[in-house]
Amino acid sequence: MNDSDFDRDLEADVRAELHRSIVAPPVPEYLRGRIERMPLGEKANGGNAMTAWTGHGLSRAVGLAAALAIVALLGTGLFLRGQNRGGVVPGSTGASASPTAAGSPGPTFPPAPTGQHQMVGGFGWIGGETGFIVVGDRELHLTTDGGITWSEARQLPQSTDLGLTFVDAQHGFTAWTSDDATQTRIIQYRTVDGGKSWQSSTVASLPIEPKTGLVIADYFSDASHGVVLVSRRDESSLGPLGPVVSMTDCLLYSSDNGGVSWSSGSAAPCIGDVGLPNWVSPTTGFLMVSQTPPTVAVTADGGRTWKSGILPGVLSETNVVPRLMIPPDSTGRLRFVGSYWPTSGTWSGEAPLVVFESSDGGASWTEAYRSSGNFVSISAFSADHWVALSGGNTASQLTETRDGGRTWRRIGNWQFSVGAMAWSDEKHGMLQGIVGCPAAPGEACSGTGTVYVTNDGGLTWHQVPF
Amino acid sequence: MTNETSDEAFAALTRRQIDSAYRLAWAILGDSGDADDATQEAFASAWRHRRSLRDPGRFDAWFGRILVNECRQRLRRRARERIRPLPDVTGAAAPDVSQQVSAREVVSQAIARLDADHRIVVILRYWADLSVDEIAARLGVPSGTVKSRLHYALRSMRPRLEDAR
Repeated sequence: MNDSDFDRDLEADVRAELHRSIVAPPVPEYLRGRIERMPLGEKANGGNAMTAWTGHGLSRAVGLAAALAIVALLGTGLFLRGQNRGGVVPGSTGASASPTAAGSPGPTFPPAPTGQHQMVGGFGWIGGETGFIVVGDRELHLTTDGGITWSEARQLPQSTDLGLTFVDAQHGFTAWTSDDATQTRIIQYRTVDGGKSWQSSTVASLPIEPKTGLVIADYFSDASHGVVLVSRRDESSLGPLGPVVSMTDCLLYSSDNGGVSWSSGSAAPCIGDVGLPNWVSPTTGFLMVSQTPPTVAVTADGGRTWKSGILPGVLSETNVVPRLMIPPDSTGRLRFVGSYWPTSGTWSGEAPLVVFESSDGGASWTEAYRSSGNFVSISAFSADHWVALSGGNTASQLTETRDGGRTWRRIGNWQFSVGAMAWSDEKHGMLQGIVGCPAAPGEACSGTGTVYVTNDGGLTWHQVPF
Repeated sequence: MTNETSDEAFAALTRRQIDSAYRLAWAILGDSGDADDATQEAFASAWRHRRSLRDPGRFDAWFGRILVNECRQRLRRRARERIRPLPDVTGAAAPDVSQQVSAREVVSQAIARLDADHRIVVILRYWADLSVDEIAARLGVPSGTVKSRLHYALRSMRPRLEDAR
């Protein structure tokens, strides 16, 4: 059995055995009674109060979890890349639905065309009308016509948990690791035929050390040039509250031949504990490397070199949640957009957007302006034209700004929760609806659901057939 | 809307969560007594901090974070007190000598040896079937951290599972 087979089996074993072995007993009645007799239960009045609150609350701030989700969404490795290659007539595959004008009821979430919702492991655009979806952990489908038709299922060599990058419809990359008794081997998988077959190469072998794990992020700016960033997550020190985490051995490996061979490791920004790289153009990417003080690392050459700079004026006990970076304009001005998230005390519900600017490639930053808005995801079509997603477990809103986030206009309402979205350009977008979690009825799972695509800038949306 | 109205709505939301909250606490902690305490404390804590919830549409994720944090604190406390294995499973009460039971025991033992943070992400990912993003939201950490914890957890479980094959 090879490593890839074993990894696949390992995850399947763990999932199957946990489902089989952990069957929680029903809630003891004494506990239910105790909870229902708490002060919160004494005034309970069922559905009417719920309706009133929901209707009011949805027009207000998004909430702490939404702010946290921003961090999560930025780590998905889904990139806004490429340009619109022309209009496409919306397809007839699957159900269709339209977001509605602000304030009016929108569509409910229909069942998947297949009749059964599946776990969506990831999705994104490669450029123009070319995009991909990963169903489950390893079933890859590609589209080259804006989501109207999709390829047959193609098997990934391993889970997408460590990311998946396609530079075009043929060339894709993903990294994984394999252990022997003393070493961890970092393996880069590559495909040159759209995922029909995969080849692998060893990037590096690093010694296994107790109580450490490797964090890995790979990225290719084109079919030839790629990098693998590696950091060691060290939990060998014990503090009063448990292991103290530190990131060490932060290295960068590069390839100029499509991942066939790799350079030896050189010093690099640490990844993993605060964030992973996010890419906003083929060569421009950014990475939060610290929250104390908040520090952003920027690359303009596909990850080969990085500049780090501290974001000024951020109060202590405040995290900067990264949301967006705008690549340098004609004057060389780079913009970083984050939101402030208090890490202690009672949160007021406001998470102001803060726009920082740099004229030296990210080595130093100044605060440009602040704005309001609580969003779970932002994509930029141009320097000042952005689209953002906000909402809760029962509804979502799509808003846009044409002045760099200073003012926002609602352009769509959804009567279901949207977990993530990705845009190729102003025409082509994808979003993932959230439906019930199979393992826990009544709860929502963001990984489970169906995906909608739009080819007309969000006027109409069409459900993909998975 | 008055505070009283929102308190009533809050109560309705929390009642809806009792069953799923207890199931998740039991899955993470593997002990009825601890699951009872963690569930009750999570609801009490949610009530105390209910004014910090600004969007009821996000209640599930907001409360899920409180619950998981409560479980995490108990796991860490427990680690300083004693070593306790994961629940030795329900369902088939009668001993089963099949290969499946052997694999089950191996998985349970491997998970029991994980520390609190790694154990929680394994349970949330492979038992609750939450996505990496959803887990990140519940734990209040970047998704990269969730991925690295999952990677570390699976890697540390691997030798034990490999031996069992």
